[in-house]
Amino acid sequence: MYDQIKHLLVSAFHVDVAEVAPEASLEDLGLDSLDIVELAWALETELRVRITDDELAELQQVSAIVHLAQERAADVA
Amino acid sequence: MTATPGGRARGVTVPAGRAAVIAGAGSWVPPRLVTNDDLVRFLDTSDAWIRDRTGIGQRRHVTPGLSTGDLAVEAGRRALRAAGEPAVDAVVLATTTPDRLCPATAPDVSARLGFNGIAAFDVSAVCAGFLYGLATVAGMIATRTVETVLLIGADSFSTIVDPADRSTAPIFGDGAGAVVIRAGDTDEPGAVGPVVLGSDGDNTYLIGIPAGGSRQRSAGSMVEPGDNYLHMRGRDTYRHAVERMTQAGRTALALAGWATSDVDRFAGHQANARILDAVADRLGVPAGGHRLSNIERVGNTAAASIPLLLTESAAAGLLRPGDRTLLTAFGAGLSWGAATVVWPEVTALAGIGDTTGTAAVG
Repeated sequence: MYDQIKHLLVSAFHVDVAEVAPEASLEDLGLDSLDIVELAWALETELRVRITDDELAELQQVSAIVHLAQERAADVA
Repeated sequence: MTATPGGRARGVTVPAGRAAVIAGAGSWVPPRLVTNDDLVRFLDTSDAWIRDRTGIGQRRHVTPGLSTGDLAVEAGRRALRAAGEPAVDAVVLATTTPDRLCPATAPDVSARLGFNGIAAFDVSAVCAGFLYGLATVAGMIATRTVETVLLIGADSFSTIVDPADRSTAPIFGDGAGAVVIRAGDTDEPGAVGPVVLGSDGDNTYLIGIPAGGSRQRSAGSMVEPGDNYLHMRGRDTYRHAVERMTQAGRTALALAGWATSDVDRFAGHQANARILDAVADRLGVPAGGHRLSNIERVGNTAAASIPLLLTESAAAGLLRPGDRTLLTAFGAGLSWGAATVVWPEVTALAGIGDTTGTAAVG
C-alpha cells in the first residue's frame, strides 16, 4: 500500500519521488487543500480505498494514511 | 440529488413548442485592472501561487462609487444593442451584491435602460444565479407572461471579500454579462434546453457572509469585523463544486438527448481553473478550445461569470453559431445548475472599462 500511495503521489501530484517518506506530511510534499480532495478521489478510483479529505487533512502523515488505507482495504476484502 | 425539472424522465427530449431563445449578448467589466502583482503588495502570496492554484492572472474591480447596478446597465445596454434594441417586457438581474440591501437593483437598472414600468426583479442564487434566472425567464415565456426579457448577471464581489484574505481576495473579480431572451421555438438555434437546478441547504455554511442579515441583526450582538466579509471553506467548496457541476451537467445532457461527444463548447462557471478542469475531465470534454475560459483575465465574477464568458467568447469567435454548448454553475447556497443551448447567430458586444463604445475581446 505504501508503494501504491507513493506512486499515486508521484504520478498524479507531481511530488518528487525522493521527498516521499513515511514521516513526510502532505503539506511537506506540497499538496494544498484542493490537492487533498483530489487525493481522496484518486485513492477511491485508483486504489478503491475510501478515505475522506477531512481524514486526510487530519492525518497528514504518509505513514498514517497508509495505515488507515490498509485497514480500509482489509475491511473491503 | 439533482432534481429533474417538472419530474421529466431522463433522456426524454423536449417536446416541440414555445421556448426561450437567446437573441443577443453583451458584457462589461469595470476599468480598474488588478493584477496578481498588485495583490502581492498587501497579501502574503505571489503571482505564481495564485496562477497555480486558481488559474487567475488578473481581475477587474469597481472604482469607488461604481456599483453592481452600474455594471448591469452597461452590460444590459450592450445586449440590447446586440439584439437590435428590442422593447423588453421584463428585466431580471441575478446578483448577490445588490446596490443596497433593499430594494432589488433590477427596477433601477430597468428604468436607467429606458424601461421604467415593466416587471423587474433580482434573482438570488449567488454563482448559480444566471442559470436560476434563465429557468425563471423560460418559465415567464412559457406562461406568456412576457415575450422578450433582458436577463443580466452582475456582481461586485470585490465589495464583499476581505482584501486581506488570501484565500478569497485573489479569486473574485467584478463584472456583468447579459442576454436578451425572446419567445421562439424549441427547434431553433438559441433555444435554451431544460435547465437543471438544485440546492443543498445542509451545507449553507460553507460559503457566505455571516453578518448583515436578519439573524445577526435580530440577535443585536456585536459583529466581528471579519463577519461582514465572505467566508469560504475551500476544500469542502471544491469537492461539492466538482461533484455538483458534473452531476448537473450530465443530467442536462441527458435531458437534451446529447452525448458528451456532442458538446462543442463547455461553458462552466469560471470559479477556479482547477474546478473547471476537474468537471470537464469528469464529463469527458476534451482539453483545449472545447473548454471556454476567461478566468485568467477576469477571475470569478459570480453571477456574471457565464454570460460574461459567453459574450466574450462569441465576440472573439471562440464560440460560434451552431456550437452545442453546455452551461454549468455552482455556488453558495449551496446552489447549482446546468443547461444546454445551441449557440445562435447573434451579435455579442463585449465592453472593457469604456462607457461609450464596445470592444471585441481577443
